[in-house]
Amino acid sequence: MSLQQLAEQIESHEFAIQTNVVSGTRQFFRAIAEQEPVRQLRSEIQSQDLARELVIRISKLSRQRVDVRYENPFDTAFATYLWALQSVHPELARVAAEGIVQAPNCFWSSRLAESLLREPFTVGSGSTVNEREGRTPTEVFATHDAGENQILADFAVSFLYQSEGLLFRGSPSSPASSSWQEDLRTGLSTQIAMYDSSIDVTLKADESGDSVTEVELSAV
Amino acid sequence: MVNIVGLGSKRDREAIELATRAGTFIPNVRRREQPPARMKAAWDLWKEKHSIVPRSHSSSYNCMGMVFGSRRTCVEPDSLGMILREDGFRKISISEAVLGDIVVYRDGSGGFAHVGLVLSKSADIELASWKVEVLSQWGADGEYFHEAYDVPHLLGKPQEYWTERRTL
Repeated sequence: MSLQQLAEQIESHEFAIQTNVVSGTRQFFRAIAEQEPVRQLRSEIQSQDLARELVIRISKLSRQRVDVRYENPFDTAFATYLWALQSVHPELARVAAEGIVQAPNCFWSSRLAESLLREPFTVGSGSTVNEREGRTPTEVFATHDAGENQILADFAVSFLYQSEGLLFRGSPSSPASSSWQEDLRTGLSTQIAMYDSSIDVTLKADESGDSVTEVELSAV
Repeated sequence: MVNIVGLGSKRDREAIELATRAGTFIPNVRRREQPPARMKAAWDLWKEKHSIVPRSHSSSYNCMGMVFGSRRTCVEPDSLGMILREDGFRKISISEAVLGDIVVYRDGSGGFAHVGLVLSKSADIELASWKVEVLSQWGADGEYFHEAYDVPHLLGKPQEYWTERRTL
């Protein structure tokens, strides 16, 4: 069965109904794993080319206009694709996650995407980004006066993730200038202001001043 | 395997104030409705496979939200143990179950998978067992009246009955 045929099955009402009959996160992803088209999909995307084709499909679907009164009709398919990708090509899964977090009204898939995007920052292990090896993990959080806004914090993580190394002086994205932290703060503030102009961004660096360890979002 | 964020932490803006009798926050998240065509397809699919009667074609709450959240939100089945303990439920035998008690379904690994409300119970003499009618929400696929065992396999099997009834 071709990737196109598998995708049509996974994007069908029937697939969504059978997997959404369960109530919990653990049960939902177990339900996905049980489906025959998903087993076949995981086998197909062992090929890097087909995996990239799938990411492009996700990108297109995530930009489709949907009826805002209802849940995104591709939510289950997005969650399935992301789940399959992250087990075979974790880096491609993160690229796909960037698109999915922008898709409106998602339920399962947005949570999986946010988890994938948050992973490198919360663990700071450098397992996926070499230049972070040995670095202090960067915590991104919104303070109480900013409503402990998880969406904003997630957005900041997403923005920072798009610019690998932005959090470290001398990295390709952050030239070793004395103003690199201010440049980062300005860049992030500009992005955050698109969502909420009343939020201020504060950065805290480690003792050497070479690495940002905290990004704090608070009310102006 | 990535650690997937569960449904509705206290900081989730889609969560509502929901707590046990002991005051512990119950993680929850509100979910948007599915389009009517998708709900119709769910009804068409499940009525072919099960003897069910629909009560409501809604998808904004799950089975836990129906029983413990007044049909306003979704709650992870993994929170069930805490709710039963902190709300003062006690386990009862099937013969003690009455209208309003709850039936708990467990999956193959023994984990909580589903929950429903007991509507009625009658003796099935031919099978030497009880026949229990239940009302439960099937994930995002609608709320149905059904016989306790007549559910999709992903919802597990009815294993336990619990009540919060107080007696004099």
